[in-house]
Amino acid sequence: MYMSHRRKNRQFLRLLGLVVGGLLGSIVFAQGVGGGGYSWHDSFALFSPSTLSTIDRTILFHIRLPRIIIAVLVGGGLALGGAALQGMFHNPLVDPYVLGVSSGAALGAVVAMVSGIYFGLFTIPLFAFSGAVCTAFVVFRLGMVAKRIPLETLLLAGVAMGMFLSAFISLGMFLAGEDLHQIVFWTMGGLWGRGWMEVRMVVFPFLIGVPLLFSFTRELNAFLLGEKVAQSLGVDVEKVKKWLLLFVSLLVASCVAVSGVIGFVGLVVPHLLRLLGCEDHRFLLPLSFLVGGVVLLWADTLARTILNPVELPVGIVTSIIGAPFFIYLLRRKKREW
Amino acid sequence: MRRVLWGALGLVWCILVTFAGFTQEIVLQDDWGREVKLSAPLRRIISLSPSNTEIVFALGMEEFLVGVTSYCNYPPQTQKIEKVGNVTEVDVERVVALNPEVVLAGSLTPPEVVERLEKLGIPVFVLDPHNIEEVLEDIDKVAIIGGVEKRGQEMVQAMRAKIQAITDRISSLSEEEKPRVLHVLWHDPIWTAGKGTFIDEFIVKAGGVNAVSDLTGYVILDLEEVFRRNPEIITVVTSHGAEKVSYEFFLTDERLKVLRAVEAGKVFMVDSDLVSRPGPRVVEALSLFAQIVHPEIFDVYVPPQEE
Repeated sequence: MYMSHRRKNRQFLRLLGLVVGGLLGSIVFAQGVGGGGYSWHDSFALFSPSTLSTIDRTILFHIRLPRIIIAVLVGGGLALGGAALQGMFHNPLVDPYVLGVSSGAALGAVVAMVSGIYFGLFTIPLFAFSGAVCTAFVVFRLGMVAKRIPLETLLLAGVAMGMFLSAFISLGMFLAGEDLHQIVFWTMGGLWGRGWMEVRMVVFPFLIGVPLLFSFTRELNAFLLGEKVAQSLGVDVEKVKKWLLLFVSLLVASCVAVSGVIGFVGLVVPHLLRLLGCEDHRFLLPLSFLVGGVVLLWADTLARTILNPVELPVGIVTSIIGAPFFIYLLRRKKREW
Repeated sequence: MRRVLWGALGLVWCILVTFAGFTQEIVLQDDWGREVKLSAPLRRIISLSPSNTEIVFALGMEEFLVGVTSYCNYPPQTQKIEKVGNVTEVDVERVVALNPEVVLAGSLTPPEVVERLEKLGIPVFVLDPHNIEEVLEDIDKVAIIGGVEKRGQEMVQAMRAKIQAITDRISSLSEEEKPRVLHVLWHDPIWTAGKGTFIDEFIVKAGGVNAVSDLTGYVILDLEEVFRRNPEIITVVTSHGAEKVSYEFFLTDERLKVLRAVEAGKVFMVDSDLVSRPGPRVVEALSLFAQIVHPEIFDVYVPPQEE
C-alpha cells in the first residue's frame, strides 16, 4: 500500500523537525558535558559568554564547541556519503570508505609522520586529504571499463586498492620506530583536540559537497529501480555515477583528514533510516546527514566522558556500539523476509 | 720418584682450583622473577634494549657486547656493534649465530622470544626496572654477570650520592613551593605520564608535583583537562632535538596561549632518549627535571639543540 504523496511529505517534515530538534538539543547538552560530568552552567554559557574566566572561555568556546561542530559535520558527512553510495551501488553493505578513501588517507598521514615532513599543524590533515583524494581517483580509473563504470569492478578495485595501501601502512608502522604511537593514535580515529582550524578546513568541502549531493536525489531514486531502468527514465547513469563519486570522495576525504578512520557511522545510519521506512532519497539524504551528526556527537561525548579525565578514541566507541547494532539490524531484516 | 708424582699432582690440583675460581656458577633473579643460572664472568653478551646497552657500556664491559638493537644509539660506539633486530622484533637466528653466553632482554622484549632463546639453551636475563632504585639494582646485577662487581658498586654509589644531593636540596620545600608539571609525550592526542612511570618519579624527586598524579601509567588526557589543571610547567618530549612537532603545538596553537605554562614561557623540550631509558643516565634525567622544576635552586636548564 502506498501512502499519498502529500501524507508522505508531511510525515517527512515531522521527522525532519524531530531530528533537527534532536540535533540542537544534543549540541546544547554536549556543550554542558565536560570533566566527566554535566553542568547546566556550561550549556547555557553558550548564550552568555561574557561572564566566564579566560580558561573557561577557552575550554567552552575554543575546545568544546568546535569539537562538537566537527563531530556533527564528520558524522553527517560520513552518513551522507554512505547513504549516497549505498543508493548508487544499490548495495546496503557499502560504506563511505569503499573507494579506499580511508586507507588512502591513513597512508597519507603515515607518510607525513614517518618522513617527518612538517610545516605547521595542518600538515597531517593535508597529507591525509591528498592521500584520500588520490586513492579515490586511482580506484575510479581502475574501475572504469571502456568509459563505463560497472559497479562490481569499482567495488573490487576499491577493496584491492585498500588492501594494497594497507600493506604500505603496515610497512610504515614497522619502519616508524619511536613514532609508532602517532600512527596508532591516528588510525584509531579521534576528534581529540580539534578546534576552529579543523572546522575551517572542512567547511569549504562541505559547503560544496553537501548541497550538490542533495541535488542528486531524483537520480538516486531512479537508481533504486536498477541502472537500466534509470537509463530508460532519462538519467545519464554514467555521468551521475562520476559526479556522485567525486562529491562523496571529496566529502569523505575531508572528514577522514580531520578525524582519522571512524567506522560504522556511514554504514549504520542510512540503514537505520531505511528500516524506519525512509527509502526515498529526497528524505534519506538530509536525514542521514542530520542523524549521522547526532550519532557521532553522542559517540564523541561518550568517548570523552566515560573514562574522564582519560579520553577514548571515538572510532573505538562507534565500532563497539555500531557493529552489534548493525548485526541486530541485519537479523531483524532477515526475520521480516 | 713418588715425591715428584705427588708434587705434579699437587700442581695440577692448584691449577684446577685457580681456574674453578675464575668461572663460578651463580643464580640471579631477573626483573620478571626468573631464576637464571649463569657461569660468571660472561664474555659474550647481547643486549636487546637501548638502556641495557647503556648499562653495559657504563660498566666498561663493551668489549663483551657482541649484539645490540637498531635503537641503541648511545654511546655512539654502539653503531659498530652488530644489530640483532629492533626492540620488539628480535632476529632469533642472528642471536643464536652470535653464540652469546647471556642475552640481556628488556621490558619490550616479547616473552615468546625469551622462551625461544631459553629453549635453544641461551640464558636470558631480563632487565625491566620500574623505578630508579630498581635501575640501580639492575646495574649491580649486570656488574656481577660481567665479573666487575666492584666497579658496579662504585658506580651505583656515585649515582646514589647524586640523587641524594638533589633530593636533599628540595626536601625543605613546602607543598606550595612545588610547581605542578605536565609531561607530554605526544600532543594529538595529549599523551602523558601518570603514576608508576619514571617521569612521575623524576618530577616528584625533582621537587615538583605531577599534574596527572591521579592517573596511572601512560594515558591519553582530554585536552580540556590540560586547561582545567593548568600546570605551571609543561615538559614535551622530542626525539634527538629534531622532531619537535608536539613542542611546536604548545607554542603555536592559539588556544594554548592562555595556559599558565605557555604564558610564562615554561614549556620545555626534553630529549626522549634521556628521559625514557631506565639506564645509567637516569641521574642525568633527574637533574634535568630538577633544573626545569627549580631553576632557582639548580642550574638553568638548556634544552637539546636542533641537529
